[in-house]
This record gives sequence, structure tokens and C-alpha cells, in this order.
Amino acid sequence: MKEEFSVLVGGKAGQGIKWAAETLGKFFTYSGLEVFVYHDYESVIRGGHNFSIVRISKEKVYAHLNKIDVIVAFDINTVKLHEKKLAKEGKIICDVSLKHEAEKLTKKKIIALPLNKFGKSANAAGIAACLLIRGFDTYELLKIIKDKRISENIVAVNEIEQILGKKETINSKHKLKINKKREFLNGSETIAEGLIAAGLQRYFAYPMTPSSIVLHYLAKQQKRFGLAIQPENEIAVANLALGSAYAGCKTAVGTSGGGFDLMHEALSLSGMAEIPFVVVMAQRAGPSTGVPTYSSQSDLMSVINAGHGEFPRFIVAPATIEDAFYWSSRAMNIAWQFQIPSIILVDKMITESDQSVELDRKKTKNMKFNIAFPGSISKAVKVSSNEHDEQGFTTENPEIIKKMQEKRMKKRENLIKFLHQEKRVRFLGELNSKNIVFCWSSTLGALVEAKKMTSKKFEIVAPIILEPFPKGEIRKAVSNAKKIICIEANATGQLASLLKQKLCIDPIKILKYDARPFDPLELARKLEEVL
Amino acid sequence: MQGHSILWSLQENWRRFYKMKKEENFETATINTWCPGCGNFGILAALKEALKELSRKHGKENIVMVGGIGCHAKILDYVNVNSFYGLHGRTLPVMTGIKLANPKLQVIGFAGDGDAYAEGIGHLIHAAKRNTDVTAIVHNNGVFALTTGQATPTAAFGFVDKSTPQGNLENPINPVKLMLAAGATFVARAYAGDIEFLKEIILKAVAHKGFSFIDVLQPCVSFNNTFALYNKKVYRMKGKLSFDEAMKKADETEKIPIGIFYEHHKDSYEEVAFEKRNLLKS
Ligand SMILES: Cc1ncc(C[n+]2csc(CCOP(=O)(O)OP(=O)(O)O)c2C)c(N)n1
Ligand code: SF4
Ligand SMILES: [Mg+2]
Repeated sequence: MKEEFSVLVGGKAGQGIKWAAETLGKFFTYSGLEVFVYHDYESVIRGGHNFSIVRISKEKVYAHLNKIDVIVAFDINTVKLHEKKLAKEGKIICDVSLKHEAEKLTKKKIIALPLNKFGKSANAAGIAACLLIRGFDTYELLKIIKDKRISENIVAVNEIEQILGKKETINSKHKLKINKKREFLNGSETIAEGLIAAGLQRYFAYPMTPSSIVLHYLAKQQKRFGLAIQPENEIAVANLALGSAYAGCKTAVGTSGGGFDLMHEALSLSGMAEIPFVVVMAQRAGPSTGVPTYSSQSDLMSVINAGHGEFPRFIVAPATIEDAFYWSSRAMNIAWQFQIPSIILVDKMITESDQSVELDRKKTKNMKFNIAFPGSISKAVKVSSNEHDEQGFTTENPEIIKKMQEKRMKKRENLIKFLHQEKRVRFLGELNSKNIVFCWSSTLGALVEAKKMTSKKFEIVAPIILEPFPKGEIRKAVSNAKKIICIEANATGQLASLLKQKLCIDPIKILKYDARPFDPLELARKLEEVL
Repeated sequence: MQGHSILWSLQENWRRFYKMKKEENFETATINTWCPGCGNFGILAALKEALKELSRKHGKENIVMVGGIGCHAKILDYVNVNSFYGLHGRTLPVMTGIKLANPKLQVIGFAGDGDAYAEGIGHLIHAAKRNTDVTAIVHNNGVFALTTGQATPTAAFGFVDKSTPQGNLENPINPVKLMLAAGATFVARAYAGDIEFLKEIILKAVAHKGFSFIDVLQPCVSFNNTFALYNKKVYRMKGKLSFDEAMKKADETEKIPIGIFYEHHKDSYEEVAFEKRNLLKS
């Protein structure tokens, strides 16, 4: 096999595009290769245009590329929209009925097969063809298509192999062996696993893309941890969570921007009553309903400033699907240790992309804390949204108010000290370079890939913890810098404004706000212009 | 929330073990700031009486009070029992969260009519639909008392206050009918001026397995003094009503019936939730 290649699977919503891409992803992951899968879909249930890009490599990959080697097209739109992305030797696999029209659209090689003949198993036939023309054996594929239509799928895969064998020379030179110990997960699953590892007992969420997969996944895993429940709205979600945490259960909620807005008042209550509150906040493109199924990084300021009054909070923005596992578990334990709100800030590129991952389960644990719950002691446990004394009784006494406010704010200092043991910032590339490129969350993936494509030398600085902001480390990193750049998927440069506010750094901004993720190729070109 | 050391919990256990059998009165050091004569005193008195029995039955440490924001919620500061003093309108989701976290706890919520029927009416309907085993007590005084007496959803048509000086332009909702329609499994109305009966209803509501709801007619002497009216009109109902009879009865205004309108058994949400979870393959 070449060092790497990419497959684009495209069609209409309802044609099983995502399933096809994920099956390819599992196939290669279990075979010991590294995979990243990006899913692009519209907010429609049937029709429209959906596609997924599966990037396969011998080396770890953190983002997809828009340079494709094989397109598996389940409709003509896929050919129309994506044939430009095909490499010179690239091939298009499609149903025979599309052949004529496809030839008019592209000069690239078209392999037309009777995919539609297999009805709902057309997607299985399509990916089998893709594997065969890349020289992979389909025998192992059959082991992983465990599905409702397993027997139809097997028929489709075998027949396609015979038909294709007559048309093309196929020789399966790559014999892969399936080993299911390796994991192929999306970020929602790694977040959920991280929460479970830290002792999650209750999960509450109201559906909102791109956070819903966490709910779906946890709903299936209830037996392993407790309950996953969908209440009437996000205000209920947040208040249920606070009630549940008060009563002693490690609890988390999940949402996206609009739902998070509805939780602000409860977030502030968590700060006042000192009740741990863990929020998985998956960003999508806003403002308002925005572009529901596409990605963005425009809610950093929202989570930092959300809620009225002043109270400490912990905000972590894991940069990869793998990191999301570790940090979700940390976020849960930190919320409980300090009795504060703890926000896991991610975006659609993390919650809905898939990757081959190795979760370091030894690094996470279900920590126990001495907190009094109703029923655990004979003394009354009283919490309050009103300013209150140590016992939880309402007070308007200025001395007690001052003391209690200081008690709460002191936790921020303690948290800062505690976080010294953590890698709060990731430094990659040429350390101590005069050129510093900042990014945060999923953009790191695209930037790491872009770095491989340019000869420019620079250091990547990706703050993972965004509150309390790791000022010291960043100050050190930029002390020799000549040129500072900040890359973000938003229109104003929200990390850039934090850098300015906290450290008087005024970086050159590279921003993208078309709701599509950064394309590493395009990013490399931009960096070359600026550096 | 409060932390505690292991030593402290040992002492606690010891204390619990050797606890003197003196009658608990649930007093706290907080000074009561309700207006003299307020209907809330009646609710507090009935609650304390009920709590004596409830603590004997369930253990005081297993009782949790939840409140919204308003005059009513101050009751949490006046009773030395576990409590969650939450947000305006959000009493019910907090109660649900507590019960789902630890079904052993007996959760009793105190909401105002502003809380339950304005800001958080959606939660009330869903709590009834969900049938979690908790008890919601609404201090229905027809006004947002703590914000100085504006009309709530139960204020009469034409009610004059600071925010509706031309008279309330809306007709009131009927909480009992609303809860019957939403599928609540225990629906009652009580009167803060009939403490003995209120205590009885609270005990029955807590004993009920599933969601129980009590709309308590609570005169607010400062902004909506209904004592004279209720003393004249309120009467205790006797016997059991069918659903249809309850719906009809709830409409009576000539005389105002108090008591249990309707009660029936349905598995509680948490019973079903844990059972369903156990059916999952993992
Ligand atoms: C979100 C929110 N909106 C408004 C308020 C202000 N507020 C405090 S108490 C109250 C009204 C309370 O009315 P009710 O629930 O009937 O309680 P009562 O005082 O009558 O017992 C309002 C509107 C608030 N605390 N929170
Ligand atoms: S304002 Fe009304 S409800 Fe509030 S304490 Fe006074 S009398 Fe009671
Ligand atoms: Mg009121």
C-alpha cells in the first residue's frame, strides 16, 4: 500500500453514506492502519447531499484532506461536486445507470458497476469495490459488516468481486488481518467513555446537533453507568443535573450553543451553590440556529462569560478525539474536587468525526471526594441560590457575603495550582521558533496536517485549558517570538482576543467562518503567505 | 456544598446511634421575615406537623425540601431539613434530578404560583406526565408576592395591581384541572387556613407512589388578602371522585372544595427507568 490514500463516499441522505464510510474506517483501523473520517451532511433526513471522507494512512492522521483517490458515488451530484478533488490517477466507482452522465462531467476513470441492484446493500457493494480496486482482500470485510442486512451484504460483496474481476485486473496483494482490539471511535464516544471512566452516573441532554451522539451512545450504555435521560428542555436538563449532583450522583449534561444559552442561569446557580456541573458543549456554526450540522469555534467567549455574577469555572477544549477521552474524565473529577462548573468545549469536528484511537485508560480514574449529600449524614445538607452562610442559610450580611464570595473565588487560585500537574498547553513543531502559530480545539488537527505540507518553520501552541487561562506557559512560549499567528474557525478571533486581554499579544489572525473545517492544503498555503 | 472529614462522619454515626429521643421541632436560627398573618405560616405549621411523622417513618436525613424563589421558598430557611433553594420556576426539575439520583430520598417541593404556573409551567406539566415519585406543593396566592404583588396566572380577571393598573386582562388558569389533564396521579387542593387538613393531605401526597400535586390556597395579607373569602367558601370534600367528577368539581366557584380530587396508581418513572435500563444489552 502507498503511504496513504483517501476515499470519498457520497450520495443522498438515507443511502447509508455514513455507514459505508464508518465500515471502511473500521476495516482499516482493525487492520492496523490509521484512519480519520470526516462526515459532511446537511440538515435533511432524506435527499440533499451527504458525503464522508475516509483518510487512511500508515502514520497517525488528525484531519481529512480534500485530495481524493477513490470516489464512491451513489448519485450524480457526488461526481459533479467532488470530481475536482480527485488525484490524477483517481477513480470513480458508481452505479451503471450513472455512467453516461458521469462521463460527461469528468475525464477521470469511471468504474461502473451494478450497485443499485443490491438495493439497500448498494453501499456494501460500493465499499467492497473500492477495497478491491485498491488491492485489498474483502474476506476480512465480511467479518465486520455485522448489520441487520448481514446476509444481503455478504451476497453483494461476493457478487461485486466476481463482476469486477471480469472487468478489471484485481489482485489482493494486501492481506490484512482484523484485530478488534484497536478502537475506531468518534469524539462523542471518547467523551462519553471519559465521563464513564471518571464515574458518571447520570447523563441528561436534550437533542441538539452536534452533541446528540453523546446522548445516543450513553443511552445504549446505561447498564454500565446509570441513567441517560432526555428531559423536556435544556433548562430542565441543567436543573435536573444540579439536583442529581446535590443528591450525590456524578452527573453530566450535553448540548450545543442554543441549548447552552438556556442553561446560563443554572450555570450561575452551580457557581453560587457550589454544586459540580459538567457540560459537554459541542459548538456548531451560529449565531442562533445557524448551520446546524456544520462546525465552528465561535462559542469560546460564550462559555467563558456565560452566567451572571462572578464564580470560578473550568473550561477545557480537547484538541483531538483521543484527548477528549482524557479531558472529559479530568473535567468530571475537577468539577467534583472543586465543586464548580466544568465545561468540555468541543465542536462538530470532534464529536462527529471518527478516528483510530488508543485510549489510555490507565490515566483516568473514578475519584471519590468527601462531600456531604442528603441522606449521607444526619445533619441537614442545605444548598442555595441565595447568598448563604456556611450552613446554607440565606444571608444579606455584608461580612458573610464578602467572606463567601472570597471562599468561592479562592477555588480559582487552588484550581490554578492544581492544574500545574497537567499539560495545559500543547507545543508542537519547532519549539522555540521565532514563528508561533496559535490554534485551539479541532483546528489543531488541520494545522498539524498543514505543517507536514509546508517547509516553513514554526511552533504550534495550542492552549487546551482555556479557563483558568494558562498565562505563564504561553508567555514563556512567545517571549522570543517575532511573528505570532492565530488560526480559528470563527469571524472575530476569540482566542486572539483572549491573548490580547490576558497577555497583550496581538496575533495575525487567520479565520474561517463558512462553517466548513480548515482544509490543511489551503491552510498551508495561507501560512506560506503570512510567514 | 459542604465537605466533611472521615473523623467527622464517625462522630456523626455515633451521634445518630445515641441520639436522645427528644421531639424534633425543625427550628432554625433564621429569623422569619414573612408578613405577620401571612398564609405561609399555616403551610409551615402543617409541614412541621407532617415532618414529625415523616421523619419517624423515613428518617429525617432522607427528606429533602426543594424551593423556587419567592416568599414561599423562604420556608426552606425555616425548617432544619435537607434543602435545595433553587431558581425561580425550576423547582420541579431539581426535584426530579434528586429523586432520579437517589430514589430513597423523599422529595417535597415548594413552589409559588409564579414559579409553578408562570415561569416553570412546562416543567410542572412534564413532572405530572413523567410521574416521578415526588410531591409538589404550590403556595397559590394569586400574586408574585416577593416582587411586590404583580398578577400571576391564577389572579382573577380584573385584578388590579402595579403591573395591571387597568385590571388583569387575562382569565386565570385552573391548576387542578391542568394537573388532571396532564396525567398527575395525585391531585389535591388545600387551604393554608385549614392546617389540620393540609397536614393530612401532605402526608397522603408523600405516601402516594408517583407524582403528587397540592395546590394550596394561600392568602397573601399584603397583596391579595383572601382569608375572609376562603373562610366563607372553602369546604372539605368527602369520598372519592372519578376522573370526570374531579374535572367537574374543580370548576366549582360558589363554594370552594378542598381535599383529594383524584388519585390512581401508575408505576413511577424511576421504577420503570431502572427496570428498562436493566433490559439493555451492554
Ligand atoms: C428568572 C427570574 N425572573 C424573575 C425573578 C424575580 N422574582 C423573584 S420572586 C418572583 C415572583 C415570585 O412569585 P411566586 O412564585 O408566586 O412566589 P410568592 O412570592 O408569591 O410566594 C419573581 C418574579 C427571579 N428571581 N428570577
Ligand atoms: S408578601 Fe404576601 S406572601 Fe409574602 S410574606 Fe407577605 S403576606 Fe406572605
Ligand atoms: Mg405567588
